[in-house]
Amino acid sequence: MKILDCEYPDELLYAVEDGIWARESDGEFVVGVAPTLGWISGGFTSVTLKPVGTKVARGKTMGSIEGPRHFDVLRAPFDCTVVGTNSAVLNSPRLANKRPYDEGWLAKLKRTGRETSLVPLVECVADVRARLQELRVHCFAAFPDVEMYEIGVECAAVLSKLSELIDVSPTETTVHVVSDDPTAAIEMERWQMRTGNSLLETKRDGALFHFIVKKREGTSFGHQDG
Amino acid sequence: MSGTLKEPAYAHSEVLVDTQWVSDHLQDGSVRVAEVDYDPLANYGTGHVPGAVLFDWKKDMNDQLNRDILSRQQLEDLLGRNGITKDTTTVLYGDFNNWFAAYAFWDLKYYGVKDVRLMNGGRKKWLLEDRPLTKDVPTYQRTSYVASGPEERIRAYKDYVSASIRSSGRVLVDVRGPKEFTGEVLAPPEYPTEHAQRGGHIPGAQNIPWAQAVNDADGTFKTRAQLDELYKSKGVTPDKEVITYCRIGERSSFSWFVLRYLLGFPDVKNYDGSWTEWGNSVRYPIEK
Repeated sequence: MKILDCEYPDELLYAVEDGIWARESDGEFVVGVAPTLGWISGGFTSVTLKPVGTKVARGKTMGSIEGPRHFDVLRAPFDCTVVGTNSAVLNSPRLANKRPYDEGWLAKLKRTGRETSLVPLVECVADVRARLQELRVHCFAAFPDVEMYEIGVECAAVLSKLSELIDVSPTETTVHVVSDDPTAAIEMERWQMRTGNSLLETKRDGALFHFIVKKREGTSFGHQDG
Repeated sequence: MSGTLKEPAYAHSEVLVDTQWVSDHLQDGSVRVAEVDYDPLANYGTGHVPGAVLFDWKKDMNDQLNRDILSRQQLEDLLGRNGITKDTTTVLYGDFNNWFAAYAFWDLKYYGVKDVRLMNGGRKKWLLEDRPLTKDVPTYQRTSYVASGPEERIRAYKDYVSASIRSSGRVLVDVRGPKEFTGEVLAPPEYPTEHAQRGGHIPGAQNIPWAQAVNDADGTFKTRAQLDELYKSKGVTPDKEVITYCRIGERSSFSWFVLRYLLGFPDVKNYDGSWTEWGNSVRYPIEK
């Protein structure tokens, strides 16, 4: 289900405060990160995990995440042994932000203790909502690669900068643009049509507009704008 | 703290404590631990060293009206309400590998606070070592702290910096990332609102990013030998007066700490106006 625009699959278990989800299969638990940790980190630049075979007590550190805005440790939801780690995420940490519930899983754990921090979603919806609000988490249609906070900047200047950025970025690059220009929503629609890039989402939060823009293949009409 | 006996110690190792030292002094009434965060919500608020108070970078460490660091009165109030006296050992630590803790350290030194120390590795190392955390916010009996200073020897202002450009006895150290130094980006991507009108650096400055002084894995400082080499290779030597700057004066406090205390340079100043002042000033020269 969606909680404040953030995806929390119904069938998973969550340790809300630790920002962890888990899925049991064949007697093992696959764990990954929930949207809270991804958002406050600003996108992972580093993920570390204790090596396979390590025993970790409940609540103790089984790894860490780091992004430009935040460092945190990952806590084991129960006494366990690490039986698998996702090398794809260790090599490319942002995978855990972009595909948190499938390809971006972190570790496989064999549970050895009875007590657990995990609960089914139905039992923690209110906690999840409170946590998202407390940390002021925003979830969007896609996890952004780049953020542009352009408060107090005129729309034309924002679009000019966005176009320059898109020009030099690889296809599929996702940009989160924040603007307080009241004409931003209209201007952004026009920009999308002119340049052929995709405007995936427009969200209004008080006086601020949030846009998620994705670079489409072969688009680079940037400098005609603004 | 600085490794094995063979390794040369830091010049003033008394200003650095390790996480074990802090663990051993959690019940010590003469020690006050303070966490200094850029983002207290996601850090101090989610759990901190037991007994530690919060110094909020935005609210506590800056003047709320003028562009300036906290006033003497603000500092006296901050220390007083956290029960700190002249006899207290104040230990600072925080997020971002002690970046903001180092800024608070510089602020406290500016107002003459004697016994201030940094916890090596900061919040990162404390968490990685699974040391205890609490969400309890402590209260301490209020004291009446009277500050001294200001110690202007450790602070540089714009005109002083201007007069220091290419002066033989002085060297400017720009501690921002290489792309900020060349003007390719105006602010690091994670702080995109903190722009200046122009990108580049103060003429003649050496670029030695602050983070090069840190071991990324656990947030501790690099060894004395590594740090010596880092600065020496760029001609930053103790016979010169050194002025550090960054974008808003925080990262440069970190490098100021390294140069002044870990390497023992006699004369190091932090230019806290930094690039958001210089890069916006009319008729102040820049290089790209």
